[in-house]
Order: sequence, then C-alpha cells, then structure tokens
Amino acid sequence: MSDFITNWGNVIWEALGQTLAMTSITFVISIIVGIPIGVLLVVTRFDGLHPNRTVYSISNWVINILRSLPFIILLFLILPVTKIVAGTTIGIRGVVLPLVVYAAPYIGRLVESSLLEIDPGTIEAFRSMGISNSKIIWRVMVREARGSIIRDLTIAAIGLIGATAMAGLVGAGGLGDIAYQYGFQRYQPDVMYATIIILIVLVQILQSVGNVISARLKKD
Amino acid sequence: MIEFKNVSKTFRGQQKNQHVRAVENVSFKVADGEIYGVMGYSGAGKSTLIRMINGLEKPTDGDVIVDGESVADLSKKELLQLRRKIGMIFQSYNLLVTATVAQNIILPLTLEGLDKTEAEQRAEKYLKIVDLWDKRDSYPAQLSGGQRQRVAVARALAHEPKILLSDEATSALDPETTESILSLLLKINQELGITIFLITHEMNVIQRVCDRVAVLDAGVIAEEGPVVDVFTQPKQGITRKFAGVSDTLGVPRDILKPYAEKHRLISLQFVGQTANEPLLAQVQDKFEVTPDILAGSMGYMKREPYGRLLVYLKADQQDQFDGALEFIRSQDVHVEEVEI
Ligand SMILES: Nc1ncnc2c1ncn2[C@@H]1O[C@H](COP(=O)(O)OP(=O)(O)OP(=O)(O)O)[C@@H](O)[C@H]1O
Ligand SMILES: [Mg+2]
Repeated sequence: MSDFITNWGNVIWEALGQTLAMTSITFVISIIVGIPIGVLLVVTRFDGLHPNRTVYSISNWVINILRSLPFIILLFLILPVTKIVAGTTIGIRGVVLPLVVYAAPYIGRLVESSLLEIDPGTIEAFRSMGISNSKIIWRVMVREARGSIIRDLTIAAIGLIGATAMAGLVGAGGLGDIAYQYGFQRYQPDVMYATIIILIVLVQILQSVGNVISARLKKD
Repeated sequence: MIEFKNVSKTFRGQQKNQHVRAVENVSFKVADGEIYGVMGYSGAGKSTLIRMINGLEKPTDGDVIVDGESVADLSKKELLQLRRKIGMIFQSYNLLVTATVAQNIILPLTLEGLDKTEAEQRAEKYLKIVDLWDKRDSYPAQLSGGQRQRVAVARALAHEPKILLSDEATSALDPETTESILSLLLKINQELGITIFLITHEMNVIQRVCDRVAVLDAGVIAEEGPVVDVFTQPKQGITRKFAGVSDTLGVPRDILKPYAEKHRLISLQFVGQTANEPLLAQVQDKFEVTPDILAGSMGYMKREPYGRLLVYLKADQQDQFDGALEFIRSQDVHVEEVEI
C-alpha cells in the first residue's frame, strides 16, 4: 500500500487536480450559459412569458443536435472552432470549449424542465401583481425552481466528470487519462482501480451534497 | 371604478370554425366600494372577463375602463402600475411553494421596489388581518386550503389595492371554510373600503357577499342587478336554474306530488325580518285557507336575513287562493306558485 502511494501518489494526485480543474472551470461556464438557455426555452414557448416561435424552434433544434452527439465526437467535430476560440486544441485550455458545448445544452434542457414544473398559476399571480417579466423570470421562477435546478446541476456536474475522462485524448490529463494510459495501455490494473475508486467517491460526494441542498430548498 | 363597455373577446383558433367567442358584447359598471359578482357555469367566460380587468387578457372589441383609464390604452409600464392597484386571488391560491408564508408576502413587495423593513411591516399587518401571523414561518404545504387562501388574500392586500379580483377563490373549499373566506371578504370590503369583483359558479357565494350580480351565459350577460332582485325574481331561465335548484327547497319532487295533486304549492321568499308565522296565521283567518309548511330555510342575503318557505294551501275556491297570494305580496314577501 505505502509502496503504491510512493510510486503513484503524485501521478494520481496531479490527475485528480486536473480533473477537478477541468470540471469546475467548465461547470461554472456551463452554468452561466446553460441556465439562460433553459430560461430562453421556457420563456419563448407558446405559453411562456414572451412566446416566440422562431426563437424557440431554432434553440430547441440546435440543442437537440448538440445533445445527440457523444462527447468524444463533439470534441473532434468542433476542433477548428476550439482552435479559434481558445488558441489551442490541446491541454486543459483546449478542452474547455468542447466540454461547455457538451454540458451547457444539457443544463439548459434540465433547467427547462425544472422551470416548467412551476405552477403556471403562480406565474399568473405575479403577473397580476404588476411585476415585470424579467423579475418574474429571475427572481420568482428561478427562485421557485432552485431546488430542482440544484438537482439538475448535480447531474450535469457528474456528467462533466465523465466527459473529462475523455479529455485525456487531447492531452488534458485527468483521472480518466491515467486510468486509460496505465490501466489499459501498460496493464497496471491497480492504478486503474485506484482512479476508479476516486471517481466513485467523487461522484458520491457530489450527489450527496446536491441531494442535501436540493432537499433543503424544496418545500413541497 | 370598473366599467365594461360593449366588451367582446374572441380566442382565435387555426381555422375560423375554431374561434371561441368567450365574451360577447358585455357592458356593466361596478361602483366604488361595491362587491360585484359574476356568476355562470364552467366555460361561460368568467375567467376571461375578470382577466380583462387587469389586462391579463385584451378585449377584441370594446373598452374596459378601470379607475378612469382604458386598460387597452395603457403603456406597458402604466399597465404594471395599474395591476399594483388591483389585487387578485385564485381558486388554486398560487403561492410560492418554496417560500414561507411571510416570504410569500414580502417577496412580491420588494420586487415592486418597497424596502425590506416596510415590506416586513406590511406582511405583519396583513397577516394579522387574516389571522395567520402565528403561521408566518410555515410553508404553504403545511397549511390547509382555507389558510392558504387567507395567505393569498393577505398577499393581495399587502399591495394596498383599491380593487380585489377573485377568480373562484372559494370553489375548492368546503362550506365552512368558504364561509370564513367570505366573511373575510366582507370585512376587508367594509373596513378597508376595497371594491371587490368576484366570479363564481356558486350561488351561495353571490348571496352571501355581493351587492350586485351579473349572470353570464355563454359569454353574454343574461341578467344583471341587485342580488336580491335577481334571485327572488329571476327573469331568465339560467338565473332561475341557479336560484331554482332550491325552488322546492331541495325537497324531491315525487314527495311533493301527493300534496300538489290535492292542493296548491307556493313558495315564499322574504328578505329582512318579516314576521312570517303571523303572516300565515293571518292568511288562514282572512281567506279561510289552511296553509301548512312543508319546508323552510333561512340564511343570509349579504347581511340581511333571507328566508324561504315551501307551503301548501288548502283552498277550496280559486278566489280564496288568489286573495291569499295578493295579501302575502302586499306584505313584501315574494310569492310564487310551484308547479310540480
Ligand atoms: N387562452 C385561450 N385560448 C383559447 N380559448 C380559450 C382561452 N381561454 C379561454 N378559452 C375559452 O373561452 C371560453 C371561456 O373560458 P373561461 O375560462 O373564461 O370560462 P370560465 O367561465 O372561467 O370557466 P370555469 O368556470 O371552468 O373556469 C371557454 O370555451 C374556453 O375554452
Ligand atoms: Mg374560470
């Protein structure tokens, strides 16, 4: 055991850092992009606060397309765009854009369904009180749905950890990368098992924290 | 305060034959401080009508005038201002489920720009008025339907509106809770001077609180006037149907049949403190008919006692019967023969 740690501790530690860095950076950006996408879908729906068929159909269509691409394909598909936006297609920098393009529409979809859970009557009540639509959206709807939105974000964060495992393919490192390199290519299963255990623990912690916060915010 | 001038509302479907004429050429006026009720069956257009008052729905034709201004002419900003003068409560309460009772009242106030301390003071004031101050930290899911509706009333009142709109606010409640909400409405109308416009399909709601009523039938006003007049002397079939559920006072017709075959059935209605026992006694003395009470009920028409009696008269001669009816009418009691 102590042998294992002296041999592999540093490698695994560094990989964990890379995974956490990739996940958290892309998670934050994906939230900033994804929540407005969810809001846009709900607001422009036929029964939303600003119905707009064109905007709704186009966003719906784009999201469906992005959502149907596996991350590994997306990663290579948008390489040229990544090159322009990030200046590079390798390392952590090179993987942020694909991860965001992967996660943001996902968050958007989840947030959409959470916002749709709000009773339309409640929104109507706030309209009847003379409160502007933008305040209804950001201060009432998002607030009312925050428990479900936290649950959505938990799911998205876990999905992102999974996706970062493939980021090793473009040299971004991370736990998935060493599991693949050492466990599969050099046949050192103990390294692979160690990373798997760390990933499981990571996901468990995230899910539990998410559940606790979500439950605390939901009151119905 | 509120005036509808030839208002119509058509919902447009994809094809012409899918258009729904929800409200058609409706005109009426609601005076300041009045409680005005609109009654009608499901789909009659009541919600559409009430939603035009605060501009949640726009008329296709005609004008809705609130507090001197035509709602359709208001700019977006003015419309928001108008809505702040109009509170609204709903059948399904429409509270935030993730907010406490107090937060449910404070949040909309702060969104309107009130500062926090003032919003908190208002929450306290109005929660006390609806008698729920001790529940301020509960969540709606922990309250009964009647309590939730009272929170909704407090939320509406906290904006200190001139008008309160009520869309079937008691339809989901049991009779006792309904009564508690209705007496709350009467109280805020009297003590705060708020004009109340309500819609309902329940006749007892109209009787209990309204000064005037309009009966809406398929988007058209069938009858309109003071509640007492409309319900004691309904002119239209639909009004009679609403009022007439009890024209035999709930006694099944087959029970009444044997009486009706031998004698004449009449129904009496009176508002206020009419001494009715002596009335029937007098009828007996004066016209040599024998009245006998089959059923009776008393309740409130707004604040006035309102009574109904179902009576059968043993009268040998037609002129005795006619005389008796005429005499009863002269005593300010509305009387009608009941046909079985
Ligand atoms: N947004 C809408 N689009 C199309 N048709 C509508 C719309 N809102 C209402 N209607 C139609 O207008 C008519 C009147 O509806 P409204 O909701 O005003 O009735 P109501 O008297 O309030 O009924 P209830 O007692 O069931 O609430 C109905 O035929 C209804 O289907
Ligand atoms: Mg309705």
